[in-house]
This record gives sequence, C-alpha cells and structure tokens, in this order.
Amino acid sequence: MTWTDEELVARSQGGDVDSFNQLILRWERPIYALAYRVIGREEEARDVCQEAFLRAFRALPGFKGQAKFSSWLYRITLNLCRDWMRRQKRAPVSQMPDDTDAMELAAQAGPVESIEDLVARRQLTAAVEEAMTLLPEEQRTAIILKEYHGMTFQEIADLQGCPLSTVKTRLYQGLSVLRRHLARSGQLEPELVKRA
Amino acid sequence: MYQSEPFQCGDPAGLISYLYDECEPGERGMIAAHVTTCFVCAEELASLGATRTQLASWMPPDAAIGFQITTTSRGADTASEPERGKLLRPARWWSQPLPAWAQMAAAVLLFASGMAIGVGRSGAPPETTASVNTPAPAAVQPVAATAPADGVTPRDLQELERRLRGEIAQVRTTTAATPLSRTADADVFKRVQTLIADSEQRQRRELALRTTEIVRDMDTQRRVDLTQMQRTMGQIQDLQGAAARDQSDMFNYLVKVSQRAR
Repeated sequence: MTWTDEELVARSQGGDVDSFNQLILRWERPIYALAYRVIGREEEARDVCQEAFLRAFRALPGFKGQAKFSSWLYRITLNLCRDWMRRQKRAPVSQMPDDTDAMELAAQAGPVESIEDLVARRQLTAAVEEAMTLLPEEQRTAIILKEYHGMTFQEIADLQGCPLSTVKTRLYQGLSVLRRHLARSGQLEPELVKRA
Repeated sequence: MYQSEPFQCGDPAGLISYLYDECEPGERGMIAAHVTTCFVCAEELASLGATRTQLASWMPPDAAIGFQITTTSRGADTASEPERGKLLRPARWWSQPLPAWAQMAAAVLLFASGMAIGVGRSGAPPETTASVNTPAPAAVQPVAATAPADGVTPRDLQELERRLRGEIAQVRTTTAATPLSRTADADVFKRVQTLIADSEQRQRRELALRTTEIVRDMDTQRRVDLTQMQRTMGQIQDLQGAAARDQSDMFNYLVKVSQRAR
C-alpha cells in the first residue's frame, strides 16, 4: 500500500521516522534536481538537498498542512539555494565537460540511440545548461519550476512571493533569452528567432 | 464569473498563458482566433514552443543520494525533548560498515596473523630479523644447503614444530571447552540472519516505491503528451477551418461577381 504525502507527514509527526524516510525517498530526486538546476553544482546541490530534508524534519512539528508538503519542501530548498548563492556571491555554473569521450559515450548509448544522437543530445544539454546560467535568478527559478516541475503560475507566484503577472513576465523574458542563446549556439533554427 | 480582457496583439502574458495552456476563461479562444490571423504572434508562439522542447533535454546528473534520517536517543535528562534527527549522507563503498560475515572473516584473519607473528617472535632466532634488511641474494639457494650457515639446525625446526603443535592443541582445547563461544556464535549467526532479513525487506520496500514512482512518471508523461497532441490537433483544425472559411468567402465573392457580370 502506498501512503499519501499527508498520511506520511501525519505519521512522521507522530514520531514515525520511517515514514519521513519514505517521504525523503519519494522527494529526494525532484529536490536534488531543483537544487542542481538552480545552483548548477552537483556536490553543493546534494548538500542543499540534505540540508532541506534535515530542516524539514526538524520543522515538521510546526507544519500545519496549510500548503502541500511538496510545496513546503520546495520553498525550503529554494531558500537554501538563495542563501547559498548569496553566500558564494556567484552565479550558477555549467559543469558540462568540455571534451567528449567517444568510448565513454558508446558505453552509455542505449540500444536505440546511436553515438551521434548521444553526442548531439549532450551538446544540446550543455547549450541549455549554459544558457540557463545567463538568466537572472528569478527568471531561472521560474522557468525551472514551470518546465521541470510542472507547477502552475499561481504555485510559482506563491513560492516566489510575487504577483501572477510577474511570473508570466519572468517566464516570457527568460524564454526569450534562452531562445536567442540556443539559436546562437546552433541548437535552434535561427529563422524561428528572426521571424519572432 | 471573471471576464478576461481582450487580447492585445503581442501581449507577453497572454502568449505565455496560451503557451502553457493556463489561460483564463474565454482567453484561450480569443488568442487562438488571433493567432490564426496574426503571423507574428503565431511565429512567436512557435519559436517559444521550440525553445521549450529544447529545454526538455536538460537532465541533472545521476547522483547517489539515498539520504536517511536516523535518530539518536538523548540522555535521561533530555528524555522529554523530541528525538533529534541526523541526516546521513550515503556512504561510499569503502566507508560503509562491513557486513557481519566480513567482520568475522577479518577478525579470523587478524587472529591468525597475530598468532603467526607471536610464533615468529618467540621461535625465530634473532638473526632472522636482521636478515630482513639485508639485500636479497641474486639467486635463491636451496634451504638444506644454507641451513647450517644461517644457524638453523634440524633440531631447531623440530623444536619449533613441537611448540606449534602444542599451541594449536591448546587453542583447540580452549575453544572446545568454552561453551560460551558456541552461544556467541549462535548469537552472531542470529544477528546476521536478522540483518539479512531486514536488508531484504528494505530492498523490497524501496523497489516497490521506485516502481510506483516510475509508473507515476510514465502516467504524467503520457498525460502531457496527450495534452500536447490535442493542442496541436486543435491548432491544425483552427488553421484548416480558417482556410476553409477563406475559400468559402472567395467562392461566394466569385459567385456574386459572376452574377453581377451577367
């Protein structure tokens, strides 16, 4: 039987640590992915992820369920990411390797994906990751929450503490910057950008 | 009921709402109608949509996460406090605790090597230790030929053998005579069995959770794909409808003009 988040939270609040560990198991991937995409560093993203769960566990008695558990967790994570970036006083970086090892790629290639496809996919990933680092933090976070976590405009507005219209503007401006950069790096047809 | 404002050509908020399919009531129809006639807005939406498609390729690297909360009980003076959590990072393979059987094997090895060192210290002549530091000869000489020269006689070897037999017999006697050691072995085996059973149970539970997650992800992806297909079909139908209307208007116009000419 699979428990819902609310049920697991209630059990955790009752002192059942295993229930909280199930919540961790359920949410650690999305939280890590969020931290990684915001910060851009693998090791630090793992630290942030760990700290987010630790804070959530400690603050669990005070969690009254006004928001969804996941939204609460996302908020904690974003605050930690923001703290980290302020502390480091630096923008996220792209960690993609410069060179590509064909043998390594060949080992990773699936049965239906050729090495050429894999290389192209890697280049696209690198271009996207690099383009994302160009965005201001608010725009990047809005796009990450929308594109990779499927949040609604309202949920993003609640998390970012801004009006709904601001979220839409951030998304539009962010996507426009990404579009230009991807076209420049050859990952998007320039015609699409010119005509737009 | 909320009535949305008329869509202004090129309005970013409206385009973004349309792009992500989060329009207010009535807004979607207005924008869809506008897009069928406005080439600029249609292209803007197409290029933003293409950008979104490219973004989907960015996946974070696989990382060994596997965090777990483990609680540590406090002392009696702080018993009223809630248990404090400690989050553990997944251990690397070299720093993970060894399984019980490996610990036992390591203990046996240590014991055996300790015994060997003890025998060597008590039985070997002092020259043996000194000879370790001397450079090795180029070729290995037969033992029998060099034995008298090294000072080890057959009598010494017999003495060493006798002492070793005596010590081994003593160890066997001690092991057999101590019933506690059997009990300890049984305890250890029981603990190992319990650990294995716990581990299997935990793995089964994790597998079930992972499977549930995968099924949920697949379902979500399927729904997203369906929505996108429906949206695309809608746009195609809109375009076809507009083309059909244009043709109909043109036909009507031609009919009227031809009637006037008569």
